[in-house]
Amino acid sequence: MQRAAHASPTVVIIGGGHAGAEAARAAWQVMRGAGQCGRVVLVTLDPSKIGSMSCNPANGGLGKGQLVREVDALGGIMGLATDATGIMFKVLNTRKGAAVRGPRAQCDREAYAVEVQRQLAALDGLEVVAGEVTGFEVEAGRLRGIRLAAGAVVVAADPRAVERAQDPCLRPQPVFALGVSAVRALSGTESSRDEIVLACDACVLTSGTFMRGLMHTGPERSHGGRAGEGAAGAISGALRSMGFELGRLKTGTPPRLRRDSLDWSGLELQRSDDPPVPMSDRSPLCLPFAAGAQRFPRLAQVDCAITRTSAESHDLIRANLHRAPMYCGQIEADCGPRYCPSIEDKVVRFADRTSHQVFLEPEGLHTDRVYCNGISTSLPIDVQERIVRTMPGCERAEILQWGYAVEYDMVWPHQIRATCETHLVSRLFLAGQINGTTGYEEAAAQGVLAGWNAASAALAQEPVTLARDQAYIGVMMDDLVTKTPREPYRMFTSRAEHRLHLRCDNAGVRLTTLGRERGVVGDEAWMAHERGERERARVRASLTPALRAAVMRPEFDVSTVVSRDGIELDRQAVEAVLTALRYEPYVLRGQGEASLMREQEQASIPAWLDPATVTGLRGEAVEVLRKHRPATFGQAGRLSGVNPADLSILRVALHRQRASRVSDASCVSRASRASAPDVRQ
Amino acid sequence: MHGIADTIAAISGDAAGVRCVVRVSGSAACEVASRMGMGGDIARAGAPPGRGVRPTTLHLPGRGSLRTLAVWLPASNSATGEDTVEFLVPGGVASAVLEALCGCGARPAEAGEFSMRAFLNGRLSLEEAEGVAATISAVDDDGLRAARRLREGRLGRLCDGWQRDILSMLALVEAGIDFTDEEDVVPIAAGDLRERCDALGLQLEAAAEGCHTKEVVTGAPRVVLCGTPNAGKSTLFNALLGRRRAVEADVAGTTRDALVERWRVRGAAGSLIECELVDLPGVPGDGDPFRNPVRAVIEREIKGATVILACARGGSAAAADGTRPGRVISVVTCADLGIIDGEDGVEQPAVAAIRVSAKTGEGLDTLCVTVAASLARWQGSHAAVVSRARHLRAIQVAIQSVEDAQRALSTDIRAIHQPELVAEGLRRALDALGSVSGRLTGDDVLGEVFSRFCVGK
Repeated sequence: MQRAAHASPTVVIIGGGHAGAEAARAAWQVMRGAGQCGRVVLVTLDPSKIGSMSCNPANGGLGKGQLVREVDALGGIMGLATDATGIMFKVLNTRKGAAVRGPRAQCDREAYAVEVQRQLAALDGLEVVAGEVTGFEVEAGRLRGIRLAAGAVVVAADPRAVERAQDPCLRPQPVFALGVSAVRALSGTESSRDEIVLACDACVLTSGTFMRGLMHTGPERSHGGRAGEGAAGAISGALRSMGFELGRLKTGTPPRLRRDSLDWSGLELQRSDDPPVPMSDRSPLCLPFAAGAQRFPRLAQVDCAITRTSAESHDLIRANLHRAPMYCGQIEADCGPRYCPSIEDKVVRFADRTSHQVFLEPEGLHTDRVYCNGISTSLPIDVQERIVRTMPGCERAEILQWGYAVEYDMVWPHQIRATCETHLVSRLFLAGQINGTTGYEEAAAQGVLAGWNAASAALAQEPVTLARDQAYIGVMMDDLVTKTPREPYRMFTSRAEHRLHLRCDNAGVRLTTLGRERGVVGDEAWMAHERGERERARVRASLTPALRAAVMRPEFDVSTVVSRDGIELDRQAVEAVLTALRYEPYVLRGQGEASLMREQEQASIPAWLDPATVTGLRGEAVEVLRKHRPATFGQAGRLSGVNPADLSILRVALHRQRASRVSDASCVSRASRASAPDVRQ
Repeated sequence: MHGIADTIAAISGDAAGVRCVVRVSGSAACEVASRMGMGGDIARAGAPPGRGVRPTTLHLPGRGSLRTLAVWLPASNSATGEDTVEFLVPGGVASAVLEALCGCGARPAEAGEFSMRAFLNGRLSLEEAEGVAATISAVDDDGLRAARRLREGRLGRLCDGWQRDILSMLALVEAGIDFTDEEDVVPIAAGDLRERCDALGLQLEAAAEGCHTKEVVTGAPRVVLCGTPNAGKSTLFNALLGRRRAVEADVAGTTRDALVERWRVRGAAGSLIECELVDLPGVPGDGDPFRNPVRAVIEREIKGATVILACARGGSAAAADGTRPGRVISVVTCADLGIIDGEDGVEQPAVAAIRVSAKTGEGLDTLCVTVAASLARWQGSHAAVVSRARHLRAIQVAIQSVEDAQRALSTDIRAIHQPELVAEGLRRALDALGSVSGRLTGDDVLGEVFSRFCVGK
């Protein structure tokens, strides 16, 4: 009897944050490019919260800006959404070399989430489901589907909200909202009284801070991953029962103040760059502008202000440390991040300081909330209020939302591959904070890669990895799978040894062609890239040898090239070409060294090789290799506890075991046929 | 991790012997050899496809030139399956030739690396390769031990100091890059950084000079005599050296410090191996006023030992650290006094000890042969020689990298405009020195930043 295969390859994305949204977009694009009627389902607790910025409403920065550019070069959402909703754009490090400049933009928080939703709504056929995931269906180490609590429904985009979002002058409303948008039952499922099973070929889990999320403000605790929202309770248990080793991390957020209750008059102001530089190459092509106003930036720009804590604020904190959840043992997680400390951490660790800078950043054009950047805290509310009021300009501040710490479950990242797929369960991919990272940009970057690989797996295509000398995304994935994090992982430019090559200006050159070939780059992103290539070719053609020499001097002024002999060149293209020229000698040297290592770097270590069976391998090396299960000799060499001699021994053993497997070749091919894509229903 | 596309060099055979071979293997072997003075025509088209032998004058920096024979083996006809050049040189200058080759573009080979290449190129069978793998893991321990000894030596300490210096500079530069929007981060002034780079560059250059002209690191293996006080170690020491170097007396605690002498030990086939023989004081009792300093001396020497002769006077147990079979040789001294079984309730060691008598000469030859065999195994790794060549190479790369950083700084008067280029130079210098005194990574740099500055909003 012939059974029908399930209708079409299906990828499920769990979570609608920055990782989930990018994963859904990437998977949808790959499916569409393959010409198959593939299905992408995004499951989230509350679809109206898709694209939310839980903490600081800003994207980019040093190292992070490069990630946004790479996400954009791969056709992602983040750069475009930032450009559409930015209310203060600033390129950091403009007085330093281009390789270490970082674009950053503060966004209108509400508008940003709605813009992400609008972009997802434009993906024809993407199903957005409101529901809670309760578990996974796994057979023979491979993911077959997910389980949802009964009541999960597909939520349609609200056309009025989509239309409203096109107009920069109107206050945006959620595109996916239960109670407003139309809903329908989820098809292709088997359901019982209290559970629905959705079969799928691959799944990307992006739980953010929601897995057993627990928020702390002084002694008060509440379950949830973000203020005012719930937690995902069941997934942790499901992962644990599948054999995953979970950890717990902590992060925090500062109080939000009411704009009108602050006295801005005496404070130093920070302004947007003029003119601001867009983050996405596609912005001029595809941002929805107000009728007749085709200009960037889309939204009115706002000023931020700088205030500071004082000795009085620090005395208050010290006097109340015993009431801080991090210090009284109320929080299970061992440590918060060193680079994003709470104000109580700052006061304890840098006891000699009597003041810290605090940025007051408006959260949007239609809200009176102000983000109080610099005093992330979980102290009790009475202390928070008193601390805030010690700061100049905040003497009469009203607090609209208290600061809190949130602790959440994560999966130690030695359990994933550089593709985001787990070792333990094939076709299950993890992306974002669940892998121990922090930051929207880090999450988005993993989301693109995970969604891309999930769809590739569902379509039986080769997996994709990016190398350390190719992208910050590659650096991050390699760090995640070869290091044991002691705190949430955040990108810095100093993490990239090929920093001079991994620049914002050449993100497209590095990644877009690969992305297009492998189907993750859509038509608009490809067109923008081709246009950029044409502009850069024009610039290169116009460079004289004298000019090429002059470029190498650091004091060289770019504008002399932009407009010369009556020819106008694209400023961005000129900067990109000149930057490439300036760094060329360094980049070539790095690439020469990399090419000597490439064979060793890329030589794969098959999953069937058990280090414990290798004679002569030191005990420590066996332990470390079994824990991290490196996919290549390059990864293995970066593990702490593995030395070059271990690699040589591993190499010999690999040849030996390979040779003995050749004789079993027929058995192997039978086995792989047996585990080929399943036939169901 | 090292690339397998590099051209590598190593000493083959006994570096302490009369003649040995220094071998270069890899796609650039011919270029490297030409830079050393070998006639380029030897490897040109038209030269015999087989082996070519050519008298050659090698230029050794700081040591003049050396007339020798070069053997050219094209990939099709070499043991590694790669283009290979071999130089036949006197043992005494082998390490200088190796260093010179590394200055010409080769890299000192890792333990077992030649065999690994032979294997990957199909010149070794799997069985042979597995034997090599076993040797690599054994030899690697020796290599690690030699590396530790070098680290503890003067140059190692210097490298540590330079690394710390670079790390702190790099942290300041990186902080000025990654955390500029933090008020706390006051990037280092260009002038200060330039001064520190200049000072570092001078120190590195002085060290590189020293590497050429004198033995900075002792490469010789060490044979250490240890045991209880009055075990007869000094008497054995003198007997092995063939002269009365140490004071002998039948009183516990006669020797107070480590005595080190060059010793050429005669092996089974009459081969001579150069090493250092060390006489140690006996482990002092609790009441001894010099207890702590003497124990520190003993501990240090045992750690750095290649072979330990654990001495016990007729029948008492030897105080050996039996952790590495082959490294410790149990010796019963004063065999002429006869065996005193069960004295002090101490049992005989399970492994047969070598019984020697300085007085009658009994057992001395056997002991020498056993020691020589142990040393030969150690020498197989050439750990110390390779490490020395590696040091020099590391320091030279560090010098160039610091110069890169200085160049990037040269245009800056007040602020550092190209911190990413300065950082690139410093990072490469840090990496280079890391091959001597242990690698520091980006995480270490970040750790330094976080410990200095309150960063993060």
